[in-house]
Order: sequence, then structure tokens, then C-alpha cells
Amino acid sequence: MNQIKHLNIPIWCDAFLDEEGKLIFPIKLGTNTLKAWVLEWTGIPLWLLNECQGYTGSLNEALALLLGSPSDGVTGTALQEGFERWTNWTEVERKDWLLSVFVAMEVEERRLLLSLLQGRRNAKILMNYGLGKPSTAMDFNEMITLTVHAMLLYVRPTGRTNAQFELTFGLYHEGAYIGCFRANLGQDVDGGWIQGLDDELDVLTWINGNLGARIGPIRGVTPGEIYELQCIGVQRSSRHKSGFKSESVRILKWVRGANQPSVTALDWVRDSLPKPQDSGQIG
Amino acid sequence: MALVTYTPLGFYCAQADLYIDPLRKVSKALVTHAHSDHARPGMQHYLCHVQSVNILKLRLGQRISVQAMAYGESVWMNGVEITLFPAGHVPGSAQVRLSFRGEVWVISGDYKTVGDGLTPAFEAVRCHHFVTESTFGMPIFQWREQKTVFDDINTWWQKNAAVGKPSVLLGYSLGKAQRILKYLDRSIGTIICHGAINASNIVLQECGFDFGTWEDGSRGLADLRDLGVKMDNCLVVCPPNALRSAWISPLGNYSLANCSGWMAVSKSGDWGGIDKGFVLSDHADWPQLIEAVLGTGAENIYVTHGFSEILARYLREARGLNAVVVEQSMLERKME
Repeated sequence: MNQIKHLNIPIWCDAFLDEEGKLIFPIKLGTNTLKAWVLEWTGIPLWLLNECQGYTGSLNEALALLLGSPSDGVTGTALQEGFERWTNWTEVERKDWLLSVFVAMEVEERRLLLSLLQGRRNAKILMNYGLGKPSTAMDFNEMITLTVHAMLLYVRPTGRTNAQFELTFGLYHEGAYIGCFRANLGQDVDGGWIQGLDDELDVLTWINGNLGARIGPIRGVTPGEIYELQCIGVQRSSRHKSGFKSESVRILKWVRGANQPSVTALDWVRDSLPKPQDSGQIG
Repeated sequence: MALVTYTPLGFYCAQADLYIDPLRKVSKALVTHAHSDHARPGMQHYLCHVQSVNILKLRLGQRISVQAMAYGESVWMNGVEITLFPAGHVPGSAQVRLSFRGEVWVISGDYKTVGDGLTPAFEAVRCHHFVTESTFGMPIFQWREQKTVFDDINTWWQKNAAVGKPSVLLGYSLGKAQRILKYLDRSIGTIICHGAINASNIVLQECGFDFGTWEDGSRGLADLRDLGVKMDNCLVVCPPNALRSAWISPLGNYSLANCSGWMAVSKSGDWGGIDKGFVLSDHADWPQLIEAVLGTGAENIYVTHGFSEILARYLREARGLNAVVVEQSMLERKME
């Protein structure tokens, strides 16, 4: 669990890393095995499952719905621990554990987990359970995580309503702020809070009340608000104006009343990254 | 000959010369509830539960000939004992029990077996022949507890209100709308009802149903706004067809949600630009359908509108019952 401690947030389990630290998550489970397990659990015949699949247009959706309303009793830890023990378990143990987890999950979470089990690369992160899959292969041994104070520069509405924004944050460099990090904030399509901040509603309300000039799809906001960010997988990039990119950005908190000198200097981030010749990465 | 048969006009009891929820004009119609796919205009005489009388008159005209019955009360027609029992679907909804010379039929109409706190709770009635609906007769339809759903609805409303956005919630004007009204958190903002819902509310309140306060939107939302009703934190309850009218336009930019059992399936979320779907139905889900069928003790099951083929096959093969599909010319999707 070194990576989890390192990140201070549970994103991936060691069980999903190979000996070289490359991501091998998710473990895969055949569709027929899943179907057989759910049929046994629910006691419905195969033809009825096929009818459900035909109606919903998706086996995963049918399986997720067939398990009914969520029951109590699963936690993120239980899910991760189960996956870590997976390889040592018998098929019966795997089935009992997976179904007990499934029935406790929300239907949407079941759909996502099923996608992960089937190796779908586009499966969204199961935020509540701390399980996820990056869009590209990542080398955990080389990954750098930095915590910075950054200035909110722009926002871009990303949903149909003003309840979801992509935020662009800047770091200080030679008398100006350079856009470096992006993170989403607000409500997702199911009404859940994307960042899970205690005051995410306050942040959303503030943004809606302080929208400024429109530049294409981007809106400016009243300058001066500073946020503490955790930037995961920061690496050099010649394609970015700042000189680096981040695989994932998590907003830790809105630092209310912070003054501008507290914003992290862009040079500090650059200096924190290995030199290209050290890491073998090219610019 | 069976006590009840299915004819092109609907279920018919020849001995009593009585149709149940007939599809065309007949002399005597027993109406299980006042939704328009069960209570149709043009019958010479209507028979229904006492709490459906005023709603029927609202919808079909004040001059209809209608006789009211209470739950558990029996009426005799040519030797046939006719009794109504609660169906739990919407206010005034009833199951019909017909008994003649020891043969007992129950026609459920639409129903749900889980109580909603508004409508009298469903009662399982022992019988030999049971006619059941199957609107949600697939095991993918399994409802969550009502309280959980209303917690979600109130949270959604609260979040919209916090950013100054009105909320619009779609629900059928009889039953669903009043159920929604009963459990909304009025500390969040003002509740406004469309005129069609307002009219049903007034009639049901006169019948003794209690679902709290609301603002009457029948004069138009612009009028309410001019009268000082705050719109930025309001919740508007309206039937789906209101979205196609100018009535909704004074709200400007709003968040739209639908309350329906069909929202359980994700493809339903794509309907008409709905932002949020709440899975809330006045029909029985799969477990309730099975529970209701088994609760009657009936050997013969007749499955009507919905996923009738699927439910009938399951009852035959997995439960060993004599279940058949009742052919209906009307294949319309049940109103939700």
C-alpha cells in the first residue's frame, strides 16, 4: 500500500501493480462467470436475464439492476482488501465476496465496477470506493505528487446547468499567473459532489456569483481566490506553457482570505521535478 | 362459462352485465381508478370507490351518473357480489372482487403493495382467478424505499435553490403529484403546482387527503412572480405536457427532473433533456408483483398491460401457476 500512503488518498491498490510498478488493474472476470453468479444469487432463469439485457440494451446495466436496492455494509476498505486477496481466493470465495460487495453498492457504482472488471478503459473512477483507472499507463515508481497553493483564474461550464465547472488554476511566475492545473468541481450528472469538499456548495455558489468576462467557452472569475491542490503524477511536458503537466488534480480546500504572496511559484514546481536526463523523460 | 371474460370492450362479467375499466362506451362500468386509461368518458353509469367520485366528475364532467362504494362494502348485481379493496395505486384506486356461487375473481387494476402514506395500503384478497397488471413486470425494476427517494429529491431541490435555479419536477397530475407534494421539504422554498395538478389537489383535499400547502400556478407563473413569489428557489410540479406549453417559459433557466419508474433504466435518462431522474412509481415493481400474485392464493393468473409475456412465463415456469397473457388491443404505455 505504499502508493496509497504516498498519495494520502486511496486511489489504486498495490494488487493492481505488477512487479515493475506498472498498472495491471483491473482484474478481469469473464462475462459468463458474472452472469452465472448473478443468476445463482437472484434465482432467476437465464431467459429472464436475456430479456432484461435486451430491454436495457446492456448486460452490465441488467446485472446491476437485477441485484436490487443497495444494502448496507460495504466500505472502500472492504472493496480494496477484497481485490488484494483476489488472487489467493478460490472461485467460491471470489463469488461470495464480489456479490456481497455488489449488493451493497449503488446501481451506478455496480455498472462502473462491472466495466472495470471487463477491462473497459473508459470506466469512470469509483470515487466513493477509491478505485480507479487512469487514462494512460502510469509508472508509480516515478510518479511525483505535489501540494501547491494556486490562484483560480478561469472556469468553464461543463454541464447543462451552472452546477459543474472545469477550473483552471495558475501559479506565480514573473509578476503574472500562468495556468497550470485543471480540476472539475460541482455536481456530477447523478447529483454527487465531484471533489467531495465540505464547502463545495459554497465554492459553487461563489463561482456563480463571481463570473466575469466570457472568452469563448471560458469565463473569467473575480481574481484573488486561492486553493490548495494536490497534483498527482506531475511530469515535465514541452507541450504545456508551464513546462509540466499533471495526471490528476484534486482540490484539497479553498484557502479563504489567503493573500497573493502565498501562491506557489511556478519555478518551485519545475525545480521539484527530475531533470530530463535524470528520469529519462524527454521534455 | 367463466364469471369474467375478456372482450374487445374490456373485462366483462356477463352475470352482472358489468364491465371493468371498459375501453369503449358501455352501460355499466366499474372503474378501478380515475386515470384516463381506466376511466373513459361516455359510459351510461359508473361505479367506483367513493374517493374517486369527485375526480371522475372533474375529468369526465359533473353530469355523469356515478355510484360510490367504500372499501369492503358489497354491492349485489344479479347474484354477483361485488366488493372493492384498496389497491394502493393512487387515491381512490381499488381492486375489484367478484364472487358468484363460490367462484371468486379479483381484478387488480393498477396497484402497488408498498404503502406510500397517502393512499390506503394494498390488501391481498384470496381468490381463484387474479387479474394482474405488469407495467414493471421485469426483475430489473426494483424500487428503493420511498424515504430515500424523497431525500434525494429534496437534496436536488436544495442544491438548485442554493445557486438560484428553479427546479421543475414532472409527475402525473393524479397520484404522483400529490405523493410528491406530501414529502417535499417546504423549508427550501416555494412549491408551485400546474393548474391540472391544482385542480386534482383541491378535489382530493375535499376527500380528506392531506399533502401540505402549495401555490396555485393555474393563472400563470408570470402572475405569481408579479405577486412576489420567489422563483429562484421554487420547485414547480407539473405534468410532462406542461413543458410543451408557454406556461413554463417565465421560469427561464431551470433544472428539470422526472419522477417515474422508467427512470430506473439509464436510457430513460436521455428522455427530452431531463437533468435528473428519480425512480418513483405508483405501480408495483417486480418483487411486489410476485408478492401480490402469491398473496392471492389464486391458481389462475391473467396478466395484462406491460411486460405481460415475461411475467406470465415466469409465473408458469418458475412458480407453477396457470398464468396467461390477456390480449389487449390497447398497447399504450402505462401512464406514470
